[in-house]
Amino acid sequence: MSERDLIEAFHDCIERINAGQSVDDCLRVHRQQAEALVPLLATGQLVQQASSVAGEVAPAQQRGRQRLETALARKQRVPTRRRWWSWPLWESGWAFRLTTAVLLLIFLVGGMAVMGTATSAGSLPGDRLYAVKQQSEQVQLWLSGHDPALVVTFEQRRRDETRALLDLGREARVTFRGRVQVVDETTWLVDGLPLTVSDQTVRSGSLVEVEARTTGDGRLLAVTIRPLTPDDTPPPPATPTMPPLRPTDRATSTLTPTRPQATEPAITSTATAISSPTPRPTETRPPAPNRPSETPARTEPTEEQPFATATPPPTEERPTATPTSERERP
Amino acid sequence: MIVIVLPDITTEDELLARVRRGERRAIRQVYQAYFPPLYQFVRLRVDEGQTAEDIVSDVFTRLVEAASGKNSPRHSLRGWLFRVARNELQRQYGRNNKIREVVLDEWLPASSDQDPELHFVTHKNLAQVRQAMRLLADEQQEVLVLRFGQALSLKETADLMDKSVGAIKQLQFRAVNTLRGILDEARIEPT
Repeated sequence: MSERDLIEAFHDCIERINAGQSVDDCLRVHRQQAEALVPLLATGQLVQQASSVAGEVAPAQQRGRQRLETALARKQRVPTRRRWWSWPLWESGWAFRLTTAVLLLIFLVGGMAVMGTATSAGSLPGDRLYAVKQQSEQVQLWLSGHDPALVVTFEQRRRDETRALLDLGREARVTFRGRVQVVDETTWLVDGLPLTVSDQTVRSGSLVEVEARTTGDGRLLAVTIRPLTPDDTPPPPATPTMPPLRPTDRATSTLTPTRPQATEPAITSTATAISSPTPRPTETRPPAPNRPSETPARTEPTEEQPFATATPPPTEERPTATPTSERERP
Repeated sequence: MIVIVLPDITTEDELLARVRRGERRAIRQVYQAYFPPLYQFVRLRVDEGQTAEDIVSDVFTRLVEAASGKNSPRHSLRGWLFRVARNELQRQYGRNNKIREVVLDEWLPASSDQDPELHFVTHKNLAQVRQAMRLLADEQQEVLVLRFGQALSLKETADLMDKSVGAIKQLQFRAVNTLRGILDEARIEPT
């Protein structure tokens, strides 16, 4: 008879006795262990008898009741501050699940945003992810408080994208800023980008925002050229959106690469004069009547505009435009 | 053999839910149902009834304070109550502040060898059995109280003592066997 058998037999007997059987019933089942079981079961019975404290329990319970009531009254007087973890919703587990779901969503969206930003970094205008890239830049600008250095970086990025499109021979609509370097009457160079125009509105050295489209044969055709004032340069607007392109500001909106200059009556006189690469008298410049609103005043740099000296074209262009616009000013 | 019957599990679960809502009436019901078994559990391990009464009262004070809070019982009401009682016992009579150790020679009846007629269980004998139980290791005392005093099932005892069912089987066997050896020396027999 092993100890293991005896342990099992002892346990079985306890269960049987608790279920209402007698000690003899148990011993009949475990005849082999009966001799060893008797003293053990007798000891168990002693423990059970010794455990009986019935005489003490009732008075003790009665006395203890007063303590319980005192504790209950104290608890009522000092309402416990409800902690967030004891909210019924939290304790039921729903709040926990909800919080977990929200956190997961945040991580998911955040992860996708990071991945999207990283993936879109090399995208070009016309690509599906290009919008993500633009939005990412807007957010960066907003977070940096429109750091001028960042604005310059992004402007350079726009020009690089345009160059890349031209190299790839891909057609896309692009917008970039740069300084005009006139090459000839139909082709400008804006920060190194050759821009085909049919008319000119801005003199060399001007800072412009160009909306153009790239062609499959590697050409860049201007759609609109918006002259920028120094105020348009960094810092940009406080909102994280790109500067709006106001139609009224687009004095050069009539500039299309296919239209001949001669058939461009709508083009302001100022514009034509400025863009000419060769010094040309302003005989064709009717004064005020033909001047379209205030555009010239905003587009033409004056003498004190620093970028005028940075442009390669001859300086004799300047007088033709400047007086007109300056005369306009009170 | 069952001395004090604990409430059935369904009733206990219902009570537990109400306690967790902080219902005072539920707490009073818990007190009514569980004071006796807790008192018995504690009483067998301490010398005086007053000490047992204080400890059990503290357990219910703790329940009042914990009800509807983060430390309130969550899964098993009886498990929580016995666990708090056990912790309170260990706190008061822990290793650093042990209850007066009962030495075997102190309580062995000197005349028992000479007078076999006294080998029946009297009230005095039962008190000596309790003292003999305190000579056992803590875990052996607990398993005896829970299995024989409270008639808890193996599973309930195992949950309460954080042990496996197999371990409890062995523990109860060794506890009874050891106690048998001690009682043999005192020649105390059941009635």
